Amino acid sequence: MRPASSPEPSAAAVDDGSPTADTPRRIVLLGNPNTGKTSLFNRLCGVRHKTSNFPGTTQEARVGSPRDLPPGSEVIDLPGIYSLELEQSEAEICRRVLAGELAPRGEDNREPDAVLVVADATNMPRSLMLVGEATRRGLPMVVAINQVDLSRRRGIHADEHVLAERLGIEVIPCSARTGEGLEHLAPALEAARIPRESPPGSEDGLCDWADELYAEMAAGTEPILPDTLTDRLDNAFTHPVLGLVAFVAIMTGLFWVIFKLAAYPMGWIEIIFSVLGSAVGSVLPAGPLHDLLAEGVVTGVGSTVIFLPQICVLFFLISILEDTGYLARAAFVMDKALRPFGLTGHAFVPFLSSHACALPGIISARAVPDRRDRLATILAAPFMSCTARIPVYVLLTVLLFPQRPALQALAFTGCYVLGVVAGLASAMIARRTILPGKSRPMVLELPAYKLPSLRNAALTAWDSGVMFLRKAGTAILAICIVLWWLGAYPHVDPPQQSLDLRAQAAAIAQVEVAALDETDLEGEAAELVASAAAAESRHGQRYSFLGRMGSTLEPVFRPLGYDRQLTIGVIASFAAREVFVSTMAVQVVGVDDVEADGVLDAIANATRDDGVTRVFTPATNWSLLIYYVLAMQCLPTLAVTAKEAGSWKWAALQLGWMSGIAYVAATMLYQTLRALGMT
Amino acid sequence: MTPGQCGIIRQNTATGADAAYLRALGLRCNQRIRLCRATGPWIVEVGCQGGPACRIGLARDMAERVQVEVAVSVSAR
Repeated sequence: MRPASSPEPSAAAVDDGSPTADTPRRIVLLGNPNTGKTSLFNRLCGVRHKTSNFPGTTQEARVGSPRDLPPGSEVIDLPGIYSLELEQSEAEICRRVLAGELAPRGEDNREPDAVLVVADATNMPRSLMLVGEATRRGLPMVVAINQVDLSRRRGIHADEHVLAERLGIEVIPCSARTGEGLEHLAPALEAARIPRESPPGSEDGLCDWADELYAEMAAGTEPILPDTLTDRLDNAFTHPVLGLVAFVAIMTGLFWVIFKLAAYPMGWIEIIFSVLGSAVGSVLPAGPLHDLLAEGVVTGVGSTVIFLPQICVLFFLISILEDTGYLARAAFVMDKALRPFGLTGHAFVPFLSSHACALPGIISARAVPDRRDRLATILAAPFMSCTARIPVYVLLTVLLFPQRPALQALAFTGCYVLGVVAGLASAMIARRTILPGKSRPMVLELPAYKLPSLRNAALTAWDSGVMFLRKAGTAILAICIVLWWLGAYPHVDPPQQSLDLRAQAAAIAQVEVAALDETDLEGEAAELVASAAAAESRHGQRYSFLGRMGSTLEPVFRPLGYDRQLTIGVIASFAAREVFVSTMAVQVVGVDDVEADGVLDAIANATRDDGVTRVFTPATNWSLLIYYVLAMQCLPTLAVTAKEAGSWKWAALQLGWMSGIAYVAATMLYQTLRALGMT
Repeated sequence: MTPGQCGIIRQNTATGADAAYLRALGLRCNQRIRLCRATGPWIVEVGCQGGPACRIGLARDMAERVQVEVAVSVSAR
């Protein structure tokens, strides 16, 4: 397909200030949502792009290096908008970028050299409205009429030459899906010209201009008939019952695939970091640097990167679903259920994602268009039970109902239900207090059903992965290092019990205590040395900074039924909830592998410092379970909340609200059960 | 208006940002629409009969703000 261009260049095309053929150019991509703008960006730049944000906003900005334009040229993918004049943050960003007042972080503020307006061949009347608004900016412009393959299939035709002649600019019919016509884009952008015509200033003037132009473009074409297949699919997918069944089935499948598919790379990552930790351990001599790298850095990075596959698979599948056109229908199905809580259907993807990990869940709340709806979604999302809570739920439900799997499963499910209920209730309270106002009624374009693009999905997964590592990885790493240091220092002398055990082992092995080599020992001597190491670990943890903090804070957690050891477990797991299990294992047994033989029994029978009272009683277990369902025990989530909500005050509110609810609920439950004699 | 019927938008009683958003989506005066579904979310096809169309899903309370003059029924393909 050949591009359409104006027969005569406009006066603006020969401006002295026009860039030459080799000058690096700044191109901005402007278009309605669902026009394939991002697919076009991916075609132009592939993976040669970076993702940042627009300063002072949470709006993602992608800047790419186009293959076929002079080196140093850049393409900025602007947010999809329906009109430049809307009072929405996305439209404001577009206006400011076109005016040269704003650029993605790291780029200088200047007017773009050309605007590439992406029009939708299947919906030219609406695209022409945005084209008209863009012409008013007086910038060199090219129009790409995308999705011509789809429009051809539906029998839709509009003559692009009419548009090119009226505006005096290049108009390129193309398809980002198939690659058709894309070879004409780069030359057209290099020769971009200022449109010689723009619509009258008023809103009605713009409508009339677009209608008249479209009538001219579509003159003589056959009328198309209603698409009844889409009608039937919509009737099914948005039906109150059928739609819900389809939604549950699709989402169950989605999460099944996430957990199944991500399990393999997660296992590989675990092995890689385990090998890396051993390598660091064997290469570096014992000492602070060895401990920092092996136990702080490698463990910290490993505990972050292990969630990367889940996040990439989640975003890959969500991109696929979005591309098919289903996701918009699903949002409508959930809208009715979420509206009583002050939320809209847009919130369901963030909530769903949060069941894997709150970080991608909060990031995906960007799809919620209204700011107040978005903030309520972000505040509620961490209540959903993420995978990091699972080890804690497993431990506590097993301790509560030993040998009774049905009751364990019931309690486990109850935790998930409680999380959802608490999240929805919190959103409702937030909307009635700090985020007042009615939720905007759901109005959403339902894009055409089409086959998804695997290329786009892969690039989305890549972007999400990189963003996750950059935003959350750095925070988690820093937190892990700090927590490791608090747990490892100061070094204390080994307890007398450990010295005695080592002396006994040395006597059995018939060597000096200093010459004891753990790797060469067998039988009783090896067991004695292992017991000595466990005693040293317990002793070290108790007198570390973290241990001392636990002792200091114990009175705060006493109403919840927690002793010094449980308090340390709760504090240590502030960075990541799952740390609670290994911390408790280390404290009460001296090893961090809760699945090792006898460890669960040892935890169940562990006693407090008085040597008599059990650490884990039914009342304490219920209190802990409720606490971990409701509490904000995840610093990276707070970091991402601050980033996405635009201020640390929202993160502070989230921390205070969730921890406050958890504290009160756990206290009430513990005290009630205690009064009933369940201690 | 019943599903399958076409009509022309005569008035949009939404105000402020909602009105501007509806207009930007294509739900503006004199625009031809077809009602595809009127239970749960209302679904309308904007620009039916003769040209390209897009589908807009509207919550019921928003749909009620758009007043339409019913035109003719279209026999489905």
